[in-house]
Amino acid sequence: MYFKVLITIFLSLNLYANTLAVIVSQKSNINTISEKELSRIFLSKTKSFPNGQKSITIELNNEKYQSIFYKKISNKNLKQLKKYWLKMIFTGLAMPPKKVDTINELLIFIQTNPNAISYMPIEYTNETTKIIMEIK
Amino acid sequence: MKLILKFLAFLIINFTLLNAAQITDSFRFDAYGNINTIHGERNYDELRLSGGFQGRYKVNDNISITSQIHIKEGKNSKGKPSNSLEDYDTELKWLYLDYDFENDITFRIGAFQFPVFKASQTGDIEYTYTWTNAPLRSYGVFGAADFNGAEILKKFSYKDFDFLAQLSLGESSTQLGSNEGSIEGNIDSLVGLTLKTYHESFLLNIGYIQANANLYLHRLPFLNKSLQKINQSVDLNMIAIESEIYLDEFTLKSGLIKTNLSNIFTEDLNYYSSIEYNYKDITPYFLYSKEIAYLKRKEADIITEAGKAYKERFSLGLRYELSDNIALKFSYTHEDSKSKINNLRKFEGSDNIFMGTMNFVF
Repeated sequence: MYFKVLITIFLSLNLYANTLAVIVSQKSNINTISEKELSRIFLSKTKSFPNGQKSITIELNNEKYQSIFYKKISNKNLKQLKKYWLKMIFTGLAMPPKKVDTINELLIFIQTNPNAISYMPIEYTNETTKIIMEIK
Repeated sequence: MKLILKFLAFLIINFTLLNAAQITDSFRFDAYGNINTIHGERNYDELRLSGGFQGRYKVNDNISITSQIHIKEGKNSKGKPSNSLEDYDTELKWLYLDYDFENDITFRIGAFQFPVFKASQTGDIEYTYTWTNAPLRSYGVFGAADFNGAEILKKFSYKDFDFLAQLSLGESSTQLGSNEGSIEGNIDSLVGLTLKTYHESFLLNIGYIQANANLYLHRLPFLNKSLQKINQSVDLNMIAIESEIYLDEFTLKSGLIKTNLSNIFTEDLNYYSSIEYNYKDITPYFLYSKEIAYLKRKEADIITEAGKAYKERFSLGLRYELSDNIALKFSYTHEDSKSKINNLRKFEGSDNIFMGTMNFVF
């Protein structure tokens, strides 16, 4: 019985740890977004939200989160993503999202930039961020 | 021995000093390198080393400056390809300023490569494509493949399709040959329109460029007239199409450039087609390309055909991803060339070429 409970708790914690929240600043007008729109923004096919508001992408320097996120929104693995960015960078058509090393840096950037959009494990979000989508 | 030492120095410099990185919040640095070994049946062996850097400085959320410098082998005093450090050539490929407006509109001013073909824009960064070589030797018109001027870019989407429309305005210059007797051209009022379409299962780029050129002939010095204008207002135009189709593990790529210089000289038709199979880190491919030049002559306002020259290539190759930023490629190419000018001069030949390359990016 105890074993089953422990397993259930472990599984739900693990599931929770792999859930990413797509976030914007609390000051942002954006409340929701589709996967397609998210893909276009993070692959730099557009620099605007669907309402015309300018978008600034930022992400954690973390391959695990990037892998989950890009697989979901663009069906690309990290290798394919790298090739995609190389072509974009060297043809001058787009630049990859700005990268930061810590959750804290990411939260500060989101808090101070109403146009910023990012993703992070849902448990690290706080009152300064607005969750507009969950990715499991 | 000297060559091996240079090769090792090239590798050490690249792998130790260079690192792609967001150096600061505002500055991004990228670098690339190519090592090519070529063996042809017509009794030649070559080792070519080349590389380059790209920097992008973001002034603010709207303005950025991008520059790309390519470094390649030059020619020695005898006019032969040389890997000696003193002979290396440096070429500025890109230098432009971007201003981003609202609604995905970008205004760009500076020096660029011709748009449309990915290989014309990233040809020196061999890591970015599957083959050992870019499929066509030229992606421009009359030897010109870059221009100085301004561009307006607009990104938009419709359903599952993403588009990029590009309007280019500017001028360019060209030089065919490097000695006396060579032809120089000043290309003015260049106007280009490009539409790039992206979809999950394909990519399609269509472009059109037209311009006007003044051509000069470098005469031999003893003629006491070193630069002679040989034609005024030569209209030139170029139509280009590039496509990629993704079918599960297979990718089909093809491209076509048709260029024309009205009044004089040549009309070119160049095209290629390739199929590749993507299996994990290995990508075997087959590539076919043909470059045809129709030579023309103008006499008393009548244009007549003066001959035809073509080069046809079949390549079988393999790309292997050694790591995240290093690719190894091997290819075998059979090349046939033929030219016939005014029934007087004829040339026919073929060659079998083996290539091994290592491409890396940072």
